[in-house]
Amino acid sequence: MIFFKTRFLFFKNKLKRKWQNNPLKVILPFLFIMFSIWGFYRLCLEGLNFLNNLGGLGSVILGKLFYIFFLTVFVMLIISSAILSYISLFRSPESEFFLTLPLKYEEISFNKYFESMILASWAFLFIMPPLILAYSKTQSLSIYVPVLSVLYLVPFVLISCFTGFFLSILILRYFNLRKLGKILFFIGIGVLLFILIKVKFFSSPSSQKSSLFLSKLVPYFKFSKIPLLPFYWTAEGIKCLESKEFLRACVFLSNLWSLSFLLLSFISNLGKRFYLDCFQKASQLSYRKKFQRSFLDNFFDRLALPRYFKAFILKDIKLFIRDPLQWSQFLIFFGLLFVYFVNIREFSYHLLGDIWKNLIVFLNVFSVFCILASLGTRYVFPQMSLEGMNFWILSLAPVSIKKIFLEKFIISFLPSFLISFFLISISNIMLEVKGIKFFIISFVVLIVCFTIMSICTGLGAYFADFTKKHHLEVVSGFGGILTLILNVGYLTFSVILFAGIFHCYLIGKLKIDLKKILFITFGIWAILSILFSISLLILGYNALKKKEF
Amino acid sequence: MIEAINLSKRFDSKWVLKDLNLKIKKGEFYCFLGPNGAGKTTTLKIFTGLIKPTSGRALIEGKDIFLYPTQVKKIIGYIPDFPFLYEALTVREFLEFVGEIFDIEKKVLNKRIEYYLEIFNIKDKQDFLIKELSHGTKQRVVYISNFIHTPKVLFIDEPLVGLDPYTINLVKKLLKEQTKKGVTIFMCTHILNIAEELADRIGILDEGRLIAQGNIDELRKLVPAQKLEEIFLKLTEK
Repeated sequence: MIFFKTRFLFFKNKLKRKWQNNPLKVILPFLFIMFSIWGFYRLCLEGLNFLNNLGGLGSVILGKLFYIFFLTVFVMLIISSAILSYISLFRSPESEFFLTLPLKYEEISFNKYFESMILASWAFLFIMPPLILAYSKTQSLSIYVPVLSVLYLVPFVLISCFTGFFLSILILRYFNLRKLGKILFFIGIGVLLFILIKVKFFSSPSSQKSSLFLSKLVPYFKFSKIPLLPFYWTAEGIKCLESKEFLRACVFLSNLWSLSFLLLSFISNLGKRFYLDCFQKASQLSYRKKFQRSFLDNFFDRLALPRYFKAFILKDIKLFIRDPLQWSQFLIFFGLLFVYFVNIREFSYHLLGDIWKNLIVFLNVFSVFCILASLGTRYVFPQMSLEGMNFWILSLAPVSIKKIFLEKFIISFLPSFLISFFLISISNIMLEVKGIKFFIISFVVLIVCFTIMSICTGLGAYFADFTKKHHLEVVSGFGGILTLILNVGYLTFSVILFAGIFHCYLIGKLKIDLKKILFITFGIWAILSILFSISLLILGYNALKKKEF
Repeated sequence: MIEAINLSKRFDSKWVLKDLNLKIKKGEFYCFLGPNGAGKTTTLKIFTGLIKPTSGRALIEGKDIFLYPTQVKKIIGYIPDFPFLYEALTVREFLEFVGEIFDIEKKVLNKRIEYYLEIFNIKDKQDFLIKELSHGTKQRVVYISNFIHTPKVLFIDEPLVGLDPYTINLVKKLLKEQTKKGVTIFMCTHILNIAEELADRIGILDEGRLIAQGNIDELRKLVPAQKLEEIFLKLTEK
């Protein structure tokens, strides 16, 4: 209990200090979270209503989606809890501290399991209630269904997170992580090549008709109904509540809880038997052989760039590459989008009507921007603060702060633009977007990337706090939340603006010439975006100049 | 009280500690000296249960730390050079947390906390969050967190990092008092005059091997020099 009490004290102290410093730091994030939950609820409600109104096929898909949702969350929870368990069990300074205290390995493991479970599932707990409420509303269910479903969700989270926790111990105990990383990298390349060949990249299966699309999809939903796995018990249990089959609902509930208790009882044994060995192995992973002069060094040597600039860029790239937590998140998010985009034709989206196609084009753009905004907030915003105690090296260097600041901006803007442009171009090619639309979207990507990275770099410098040691500490502050809100607001506005123009044109409500209105809107929007970006960069730069290290 | 029997540690193919044998008596102040990377911190980490040795045994009060981890850790304290502290806890909350882990009775714990906060002159900071403290004050909190559970053995890595002259003096006095009470102290440091002033015996480690050991007079017999600094430099020069 002492661990939970300590965690509660952290939370209470942080909240209290924030409230004392500035109540807005508490109120604003709270409102943002509430607004997001409400927005998600509305989104689910609209989506589910849409499917419900489709009639027969819609109802079938709606039923299947419920199972797919739990399967997806199950997999996501396993992955995130595996990563978080690894970090909190074996890589955190707190674990080292615990090991010097008279605590049993099983106590440490138990505490760390719950810690990683909470960290892995808090976002899920925010999206679950709105979804179930929306589902209940569309199905006109009684209020007891969403209330009782909590009883299913708790063991579902316990089981999923235990699986991740178990995997992290298993992999660390029995596999060589360095070799495993290399093997996974080559498997990834293989999968990528397979996808490219299998989907016949850039070719179009014209025989398929869009009307068949949804019905063809239905058989693929079968995998979400594996009766021996807990995601099925959760979905099926809630479904039984819906259909008032209470006895069956109780069977699934008891399945879930009994499995949860069984797995929880394993944690002590796992901790007792493997914790110390795994901790040793993880500590030795950081004991690395000296790094050889790399391809990067040789590559940058050949570039005609100022020496200080090459040195800064190389430092940032190397730090990024040597932190698997950073690049793996980029790889996972953008990788998933890449796989989805190259598979668009498999779903026959390119054969849909123009209005639907327009919606999908801009939804794809929106999804890339969303990931960009969240990764920007997560990694670009805190980069100045994380220079931390090392900033004296940079500030004592015979290079102006302005140049350092610009380097930080360029190194975040260029890769983000190239990746976004590449992904969105694939999406556009697969959806057969041509002409002015392709041209406008490409420039929208350029300006949005520029603005998002300006917001992150500018506000990152403005709110720079050199005492912070970890990304999350910096991001969870007022500056981080403001950055995220500005990013999301800006990209939502931009996407809706251009999607709206094309939509109005397609439904025949645009009275003026499309090209004319597009160029005028784009011109004004681009000028305003650039002005906004430059002001934020200047604001950040001026604040950074005045900072004392 | 502390015993290392053929203690060795290898990281990949590099031996950072090789066949360390030593015995430290109860109430003895033992100082471990050595150049950077000699294996001092690795030895400390093995004795505190953070790193398993590749071979050999680390005994405290006759018990192997890896066979009886909880029992042994109840009687040891560890002060690392850059300690872990919960930044979002207040000083008092952190000390209470440590006290509860060591299962100290509430009344006794409160008395000890009060006593050491007074001694270390940070009573006025007990309700500050740890992140709001300077490095030196944080170090004082770490000392208090170790003293409140009255360890029989104290392991210290670079004891005076970031401390002001007043606290350095206080720490030296308190550590000496601890040894008089029967606490065994095993300390790693680079500050040779501290070792000379406080230690009953000094061990010099180089490239993972214990190359010399004894009190200052015994070391002088090994190397013809007066100051510990000269002895150390002659023993470790390549």
